[in-house]
Amino acid sequence: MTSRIPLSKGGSVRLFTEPPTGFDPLSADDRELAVYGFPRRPSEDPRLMERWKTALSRPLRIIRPRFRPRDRVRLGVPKLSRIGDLAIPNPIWSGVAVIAPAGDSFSWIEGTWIVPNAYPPGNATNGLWYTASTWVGIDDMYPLQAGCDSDVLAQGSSLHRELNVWWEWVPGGSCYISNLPVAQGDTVSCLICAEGGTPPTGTVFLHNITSGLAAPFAVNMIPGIQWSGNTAEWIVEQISNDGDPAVLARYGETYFDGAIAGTVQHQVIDAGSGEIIQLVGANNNVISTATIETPTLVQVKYTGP
Amino acid sequence: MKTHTLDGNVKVRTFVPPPPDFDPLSANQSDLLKHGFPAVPESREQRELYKRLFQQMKGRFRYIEPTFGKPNKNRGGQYRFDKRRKKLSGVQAGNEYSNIWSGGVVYSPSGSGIRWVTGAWTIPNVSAPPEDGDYYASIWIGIDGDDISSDVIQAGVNCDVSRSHGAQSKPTFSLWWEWYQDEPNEDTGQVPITKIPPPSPGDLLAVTICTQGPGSTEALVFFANVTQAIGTSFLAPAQPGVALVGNCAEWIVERPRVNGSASTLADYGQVFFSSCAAAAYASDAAIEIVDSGSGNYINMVQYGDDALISQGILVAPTVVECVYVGGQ
Repeated sequence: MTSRIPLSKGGSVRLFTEPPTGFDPLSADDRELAVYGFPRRPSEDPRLMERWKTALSRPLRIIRPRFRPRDRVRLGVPKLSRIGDLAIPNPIWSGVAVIAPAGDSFSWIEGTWIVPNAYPPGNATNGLWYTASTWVGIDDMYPLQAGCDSDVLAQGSSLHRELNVWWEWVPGGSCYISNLPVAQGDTVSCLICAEGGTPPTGTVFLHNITSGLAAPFAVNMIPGIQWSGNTAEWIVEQISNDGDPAVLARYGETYFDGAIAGTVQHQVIDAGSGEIIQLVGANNNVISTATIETPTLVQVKYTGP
Repeated sequence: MKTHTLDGNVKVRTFVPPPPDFDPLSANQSDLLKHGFPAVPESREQRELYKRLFQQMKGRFRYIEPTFGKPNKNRGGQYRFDKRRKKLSGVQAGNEYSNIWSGGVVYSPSGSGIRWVTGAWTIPNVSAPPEDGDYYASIWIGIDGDDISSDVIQAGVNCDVSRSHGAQSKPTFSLWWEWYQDEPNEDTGQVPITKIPPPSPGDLLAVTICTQGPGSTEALVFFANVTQAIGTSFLAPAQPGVALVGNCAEWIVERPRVNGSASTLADYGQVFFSSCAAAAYASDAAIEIVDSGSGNYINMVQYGDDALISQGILVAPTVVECVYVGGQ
């Protein structure tokens, strides 16, 4: 049975039927995959097919996600545009974004990454939460995005940590997925498919590769938004907690692997062809930046104060 | 310097810790050596890596004087008896297969010997495969151990997890070093590094091993937990009669020898070794930096049926990727 959950700011989530025990996505037909919320078989592209097989060959247990509100404040959403060969400076994001060719838009994005541990930055205030949020998403103005918050708070000499999985379709509310545990150092993978329309719809397939749990769901966006799907991005973001000014947690580095996106007109676009986004501080100092290692591998690294 | 004499007469030397405000980027060479920091390298590429490492921790770095646990005879490297090189027909040149190692290896250019190796990686969390049992992943960098050398100076992290009656234990993580020697010497086993706070999964760990090149009987091992901004170092001795060959350097995820035989690999997801480089010195003092990208892949395969357990990929010039596949 599928079920629909209304969201507080409008829009809704649809959950998929849990597959029967012993269900094998590799031998299932396309209809069964759709019913149970699995990513569809990308038979049109051998490279994508290879990745699809690898991801679904690992131990995998599908769960029905449960959601709770995520009270995090985003300091606006950056509008990305090319500035020649230079990295794009940004006050909250670091990573790589690809920009859709004229007349086309993104319909899916994929990435696999190791969730970093978080430490307070050098100038940390006692008792405040600091976050490094790792995620993938489509669109820069109204991103449909999903990933993990690595949070840390220093209280005297002891550190407290939280690690939560979340998704958001801006400007709808942000939700934690409360029954998909992720720990520091886990390898997670996320596939997001989205299409425009009235309202725009998307599906999110979040998979903790280390634990073998995956939580698929579908989203209907808030009605009335002109969603364009103009960008696809692999990001480490600083998040403002409880309204305090956002400061990125020290997170070391992470790699987004299998970083590819696809367009409505069936173009596959590698992250490596995209733009580097640097998170810069008030003095234009670079706090976090990305390196394109291969067409489908992006390193994002803390370089901060 | 202090000498720690461990079981098996292993003598490890440690350094005078630096003062709290010590900045390796501006310190002079003799202070670096005195306090156990790698000397500022001679080549530009090496200096870049060196700067990148310490800049990330600038103003916060805390040096911790290490102590050592008992060398663990039941846990350690393994080499010739089950390490083999094999090229399969139809597989591209440069692939190696091993029953215990996966990752990347580089060889010293002809007429030179490797002195120095470095690499960093985010420590992965590990999970236990479905069957009850004990699972291990040792993630390390080292010099020697492939082709003509039968020793390995290696340093890294153990990631252990087990499953009992279906329930998974909490994984544990610990730092160690070992200068492995194939027969005739008895293997000392891994030496645990204690006192330094244990690493957590998700932490970025950087390791540098410096030697005087072929013939060295001591190696400077420098550990930095970059995200915790702490580090430690010491001089690790080779066993009596053993000296560095310097023919190869490697970045490896291994299923270690436990109680005499190869263990079962823990599911570590994937690991990226970044900033991978080794330095080879020729006898005329010319230095050549060997990127990991110029070396060989090593895939870990099962005994007997060659089923792939863990894949090594030289993904970019200075990045080695390892991916857990399973198949055990």
